[in-house]
Amino acid sequence: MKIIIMAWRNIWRTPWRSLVVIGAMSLGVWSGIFMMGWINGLNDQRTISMLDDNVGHGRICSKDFLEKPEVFSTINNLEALSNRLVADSNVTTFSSRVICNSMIQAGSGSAPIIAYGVNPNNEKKVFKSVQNISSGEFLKGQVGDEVVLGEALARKLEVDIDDRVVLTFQDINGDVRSALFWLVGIYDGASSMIEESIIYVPSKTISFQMGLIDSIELSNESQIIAHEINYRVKNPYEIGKANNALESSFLKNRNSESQSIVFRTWKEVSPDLGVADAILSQSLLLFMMIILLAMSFGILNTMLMAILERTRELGMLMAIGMNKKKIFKLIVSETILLSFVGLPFGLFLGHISLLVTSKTGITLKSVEQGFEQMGLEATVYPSVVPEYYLPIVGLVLILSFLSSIYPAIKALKLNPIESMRVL
Amino acid sequence: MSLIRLENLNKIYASQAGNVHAINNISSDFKAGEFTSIVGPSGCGKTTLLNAIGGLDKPNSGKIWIDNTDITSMGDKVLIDFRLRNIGFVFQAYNLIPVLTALENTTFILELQGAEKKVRNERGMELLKAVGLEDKANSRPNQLSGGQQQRVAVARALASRPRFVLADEPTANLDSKSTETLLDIMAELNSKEGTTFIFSTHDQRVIDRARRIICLEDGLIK
Repeated sequence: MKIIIMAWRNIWRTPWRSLVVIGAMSLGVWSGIFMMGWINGLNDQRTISMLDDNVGHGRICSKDFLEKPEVFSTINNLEALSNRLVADSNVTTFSSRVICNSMIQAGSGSAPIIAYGVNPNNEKKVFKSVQNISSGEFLKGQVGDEVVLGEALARKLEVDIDDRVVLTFQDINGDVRSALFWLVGIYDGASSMIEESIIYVPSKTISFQMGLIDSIELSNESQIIAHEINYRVKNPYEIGKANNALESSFLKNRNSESQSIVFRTWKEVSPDLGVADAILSQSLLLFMMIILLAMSFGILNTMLMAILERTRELGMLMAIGMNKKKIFKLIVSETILLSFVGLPFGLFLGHISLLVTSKTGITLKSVEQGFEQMGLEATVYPSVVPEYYLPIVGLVLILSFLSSIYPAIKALKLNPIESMRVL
Repeated sequence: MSLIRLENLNKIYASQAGNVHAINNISSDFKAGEFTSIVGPSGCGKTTLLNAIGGLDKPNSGKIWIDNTDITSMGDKVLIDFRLRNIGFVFQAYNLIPVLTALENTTFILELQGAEKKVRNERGMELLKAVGLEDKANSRPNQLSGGQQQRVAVARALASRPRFVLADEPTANLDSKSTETLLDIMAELNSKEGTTFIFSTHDQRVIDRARRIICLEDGLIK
């Protein structure tokens, strides 16, 4: 008990020096946490933007289609699966797609593309890219000879609204077919790569052209065929849980003859986004460790000064019978207490700053244009990062303990007689 | 029977001018309950002798027996614990712990020994009363005068009822009145509690109160 009390009181023998160390620790932790929240917020923004734009939160397709995306590898039981998605409380909305690998031709050239046959109303609910129409309008329905291209592709093919384009693709029998479409809209995608490779056509029309449905089914209102379903959930960061629930609910109701369906999270659909998330967590902790490491050198220096100033007193403590274990404990306690006084202030300030700025956001006027080109908003909303607080406390504990070892060893090497000069 | 027995004690310091024989083949006995002053001019070896008896400094040769235990053969770890349980120290410069109150300073050694708080505080207050400082129990050293600090140091040295107290020039920094008060207190504790006191001093007032005087000159007992 007394060791801790002594350690605490010793800290305040030189209040200004201790306050400087405590202040530095608070500022270090504060800036570290704020930076973590900021980078996390920026990454969240980038991730959400990618998910909203063209990845979605989760994706369902047949196992065959995932292994080899053939025209005929459609989802067999689309209606049952759709009903399950509607019933799932985690799923907020979904959209089915027919996927057609094609060659697009226009007056001035051609390009390989992927045509998404979509129900425009559903697609708009899942993806934002189809809402960013820079010219013309998006598709009106599931039937019609309309097509929507990305800005980059339109520029490349030198086509504009009301121009004709021809899609050439394989049908279900493996025969090559061509179909004429009229350009009704041009979208502004997240990147020029997406704009150049993705086009949108009405789902039923392209399904009919590919031979997936007949003319009777073409006039049917509901979508009856799809290669994949994209869906959104309430919290994209809990997609794993939602996906598992969905999959187990599906598996429970399937029979032995049912088709194998694959449920993938956005991390599986777009592994680069998932990996970026994992790398970021590690990097942020490493970043914090570097800040705290720098701080611990300051603490070490302060403790060495304290030992130097208290040489006589430490010698006296040893002389009257305080053993080395207790001297070591005293120095370590002082160092850890010194570090830990600043820690809660830093955590509190960091938490409050993130709470406020996560609501207000911080606008980066100087890089606004660059951000927009990357499909990001110039206002960044830092995220509150409570999941890092415990690791930070652990890091401070470990580093302050490590920084106390050298001063403690110096103290233990003192000779009582020499330290006191006289008995 | 002797409480402390010194046998052919030698302590030599090496210096640029050559070896200095700080203690030169000293042999002596100290009985329990003694009130002894080791006197002599500066540099005669008083402090070196006290350091050796207190186990703070190892002699080059010779033996120091305390209650028939040879402390010169003890390792550092054992010696620290031996000091804690058997020897009380009073230093010239008081050497109280600045962050502890008078009571906490007094009971510090008892705490190191693992005594219970109630026992510690009772003994601490008893001693502070004995040295006339019960009203200063909660004062820090910087709130006390030099004389008061030295009285707390005496209380601290006696708190654990050590076998003997070593006091190195305890009155060197005190005025006459404080010196008299301190000597009265130590004499009273010596007679009441039977505590053995060994002083090093060249203060005539201390020498006058001692019941035994050992004169040192150039490391030799005269």
